[in-house]
Amino acid sequence: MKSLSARLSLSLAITLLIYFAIQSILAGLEVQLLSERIVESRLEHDMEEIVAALYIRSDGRFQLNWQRIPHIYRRPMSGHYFIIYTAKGMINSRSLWDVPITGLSLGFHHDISGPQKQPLSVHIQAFNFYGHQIRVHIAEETSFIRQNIHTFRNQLLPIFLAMILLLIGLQVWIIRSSLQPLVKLRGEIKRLEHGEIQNLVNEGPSEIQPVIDEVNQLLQLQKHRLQRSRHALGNMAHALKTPLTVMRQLLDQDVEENKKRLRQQLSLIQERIDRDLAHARLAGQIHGGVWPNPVQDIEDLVSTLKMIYHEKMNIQLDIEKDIRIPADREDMMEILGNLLDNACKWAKSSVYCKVWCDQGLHMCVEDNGEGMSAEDMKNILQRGVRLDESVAGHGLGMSIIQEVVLAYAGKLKLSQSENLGGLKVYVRLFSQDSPQ
Amino acid sequence: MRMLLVEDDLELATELCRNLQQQNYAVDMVHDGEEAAFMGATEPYDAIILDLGLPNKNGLDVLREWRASGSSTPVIILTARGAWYEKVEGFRAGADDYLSKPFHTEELMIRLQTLLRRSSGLTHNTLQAGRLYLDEEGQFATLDQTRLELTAMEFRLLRYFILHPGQILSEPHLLEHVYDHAAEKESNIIEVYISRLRKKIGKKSIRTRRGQGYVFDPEAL
Repeated sequence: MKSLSARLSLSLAITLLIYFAIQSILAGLEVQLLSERIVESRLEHDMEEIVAALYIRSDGRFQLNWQRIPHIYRRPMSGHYFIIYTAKGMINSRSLWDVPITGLSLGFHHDISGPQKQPLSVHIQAFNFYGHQIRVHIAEETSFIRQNIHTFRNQLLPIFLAMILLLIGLQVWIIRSSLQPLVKLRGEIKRLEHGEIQNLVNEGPSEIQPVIDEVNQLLQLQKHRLQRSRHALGNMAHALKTPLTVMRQLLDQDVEENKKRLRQQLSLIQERIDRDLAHARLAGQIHGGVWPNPVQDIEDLVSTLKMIYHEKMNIQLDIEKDIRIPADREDMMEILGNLLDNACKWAKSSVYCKVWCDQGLHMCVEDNGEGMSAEDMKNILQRGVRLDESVAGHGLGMSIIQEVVLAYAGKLKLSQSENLGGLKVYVRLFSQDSPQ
Repeated sequence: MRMLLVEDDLELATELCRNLQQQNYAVDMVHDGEEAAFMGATEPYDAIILDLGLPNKNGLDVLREWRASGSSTPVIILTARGAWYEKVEGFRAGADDYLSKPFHTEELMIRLQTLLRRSSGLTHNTLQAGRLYLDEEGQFATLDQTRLELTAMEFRLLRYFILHPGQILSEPHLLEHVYDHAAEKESNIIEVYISRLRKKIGKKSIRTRRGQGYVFDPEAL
């Protein structure tokens, strides 16, 4: 079942049905108990009167003053009976009830089979009557109780059914009207899709308002991203079309020495593409991201680099076995991959890489290459300044790393490696203190 | 040496194929993933150049399929996707080398030669066996400073012998590794070329094992 309102209505209807079923059973029981109480009190009362009508004759036999006995006990088969057991025999009501009942204790008993197999309520009590032990059984036919319950239920059922229908109808209406904001929201989303509105405008109840806010935030984010990517695409188009124009002109001239200049323009284009793609690939700082298995990934990265640099490169990895890195896996691999690749390009034989976590993520990569002059280090950290074409790759590698670190608002530090003698690149991400 | 070239861009594939043939490789060319998976699994290639962005079946899946079926043919991956996690994925799938587009054709050729030497267990940076050197760019051999000009087929055969020294190589096996899939193969062509090679580098170095094939012995040069 997919509809929320249908599911709510059905479950509420079932609850109501169960409630009324239990209630009607309980009400029946209550009526029965109540009727029995009334019968009991009547029997008690009658018993008192019968005992009061009893006296002992001068010959010592028990006699009833029938005038004082309620009339109903004198009419045959009236449904009201009594029997008095004395030491000298028994006296029973004129309404007849000569079926002796044995095995019943003192007190009230209900649903005992009577002279015409009709149900009886019986009250049995023992008295000390002027020194004689007597026992009085008094009974009343109670088939009327069953009839009462039956009529009661028959009258009640239609009322209950009507109430159930009324309540279900009420509930459906309540559910429909409380789901109304969702229906409205659906309509708005449809209008959003058709471009009729820019974001969701309606206020919703407190349960739905967060969803509306969230959707609006997402829309805002999407708008920003669209703007940013349009901006980036515009920049890229500009950066690519300029060298393309130059190349076209160079091709038109058809001079042999233009080949070198064509290659220059081509490498400009490639550099630009690589840098922009590296930037576009970044997810950026996402909160709650986790790198599932960093050690395995970094080790595989090193193996990949060894494969690319034909095993000649000795890459030493220093990383804790159970390090936990709370960052996007692909981004971090991009940073480390570029750091290591750059180091491998310039190292003579060895690269050292250390990754550790201490209030943020630290990555340090050293090589035993030529290193870099202080002047070059300063130049390369200024964005847009490339090193001489003769060190192609170095400038590009660094500019990608810079791009990535910048996207993470991290820190990048270049220095001379104390242990290996070449360049030492240090990157720190996610630090609490302000970025560079 | 017989190559499988898997590249869906027809322009690039044709150009690479031409370059490879110039370097005396027998090349089969396919343009989609499913065909590549089939060819790589059924034909005895010495190396495979595999582009990752393929129609019908992803290049990485094709590679995983080959590796899962036990093939250890060296594979060079070509791809325009340069992200590092993708390179690592390529390596995990079983690639032996990795080249990002755009690349220089010479770079690919050098990587290929290195890969072939490495997979044959040769440690030299050049193709050499005893006193015999093979120049892969110039299609000639030198034996004791004497330059020996070779025809394309002689070159192919000799390179295969140098990369598989001491192994018994049957005629059908040699045919499969020096000719591509489409080539017309005549029955006694190998015999003819071997006798020509023997005339150039000496009789003893290529021995005939009757009923089995030929063995190249660098010691007997």
